[in-house]
Amino acid sequence: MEIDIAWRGRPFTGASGERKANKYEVEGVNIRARKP
Amino acid sequence: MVDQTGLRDAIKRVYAEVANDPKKGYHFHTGPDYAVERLGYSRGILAELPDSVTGPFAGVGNPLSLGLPARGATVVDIGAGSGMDTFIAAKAVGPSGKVVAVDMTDAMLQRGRQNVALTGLRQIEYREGFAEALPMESGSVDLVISNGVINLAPDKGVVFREAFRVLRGGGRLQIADIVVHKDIPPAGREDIAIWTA
Repeated sequence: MEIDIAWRGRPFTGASGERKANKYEVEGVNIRARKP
Repeated sequence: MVDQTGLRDAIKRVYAEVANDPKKGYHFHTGPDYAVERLGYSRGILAELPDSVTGPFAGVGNPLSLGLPARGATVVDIGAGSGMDTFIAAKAVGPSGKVVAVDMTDAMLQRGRQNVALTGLRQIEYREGFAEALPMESGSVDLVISNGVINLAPDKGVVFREAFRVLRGGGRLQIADIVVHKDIPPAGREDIAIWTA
């Protein structure tokens, strides 16, 4: 089963949760896969 | 392992607030401007949707940027919330298709059903349920989407097995979510405040 990460971003930048997100190095991702 | 019932209750409290007061200010961003500026949504597409659909949006990515469902397709949106991705998918599948919006939060189910009535997009059906036990028949879905929800499930493997179960052969999974690159210590993994923050 192929899995592809198509995008990476920082969705918490500028939000009050940014500090905690940075602490754990949180990243937003778009992922796609296809069932055989 | 974190207490799942307590975690679900905490998540429901947070997202009930988001449904009823999306601009209150949360530790995450909400709304259509954020979706356009940070996540690459089309302002034109979002402008066609009512504020009650786009305002409570609290996703972390853009699953439908990976491709829209075909006309007539069956889609399930795991943790649909007020339904921004649901409604975009519903316009793509048209009246001959179906989008099942699954959510566990009463306030979001209520908001979503009101939005269905408001838009007249009858191909959308809101169903109460959990990501770990989708209210769908096996092999019945062409596309599974989700946006910022799977990170809230303690056992991600169960969620992915459910998505695999409901997909038909050749069906697609398109999700947006968050990943951590730094280990969360064991105490943090049991701290509901960390899960919901």
